[in-house]
Amino acid sequence: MSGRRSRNITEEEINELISKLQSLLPETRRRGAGRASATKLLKETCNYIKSLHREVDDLSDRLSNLMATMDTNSAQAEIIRSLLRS
Amino acid sequence: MKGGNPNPNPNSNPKKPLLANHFIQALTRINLAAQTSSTRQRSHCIKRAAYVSMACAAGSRRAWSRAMLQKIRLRSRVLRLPGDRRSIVSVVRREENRADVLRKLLPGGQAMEFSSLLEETASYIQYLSAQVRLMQTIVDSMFG
Repeated sequence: MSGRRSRNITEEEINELISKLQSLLPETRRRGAGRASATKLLKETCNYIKSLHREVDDLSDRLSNLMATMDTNSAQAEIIRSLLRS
Repeated sequence: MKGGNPNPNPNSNPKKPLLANHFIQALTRINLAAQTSSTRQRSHCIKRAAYVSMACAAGSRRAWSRAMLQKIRLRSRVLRLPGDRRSIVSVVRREENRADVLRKLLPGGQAMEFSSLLEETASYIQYLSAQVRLMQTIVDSMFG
């Protein structure tokens, strides 16, 4: 745990930390409840954030390529249409 | 605090319109400037718009969004975005505090109290995954 707190973290706070971290992760990334440690969950949380960053990267590339292949007006129409579908 | 649910139903997510609005407007601007930019440049603009949308949707309510908006307002031309390929990846030593890794990933994370780090992480993940879903929806619809 970070040493920035001036007092020791209580057992209760650790349990809260564990359940909170677990709830942040999607199903596929969760380990068996009760067996996961706070450290492990922190690691999974970091991995999850990194994978989301990579997805934003990847989707930005794909959007850019798609815009390149469409003429301006078609892309424009699709962008607006997608808003209505979302 | 809605952060407890990692996979909220997108249709009932109240922040979605804000997110979509801003991002769609940005995409429109980027699209109209298409002739003058390369695919790679445009990709970077889109990515930047994604993070700006997230920060604007969250507003000043969150430390992570405030940190991001502050960076953007400084109009840094070399705005380092999360997940930039050129970012230096540090080797995580065994002793390195796991919470410190999280602090590096979260905008404004270095300055946070540990107690608020979790709340901020929950919020950041919520907006980040909403942004990803939004972009996926747009890509899917553009494929026809």
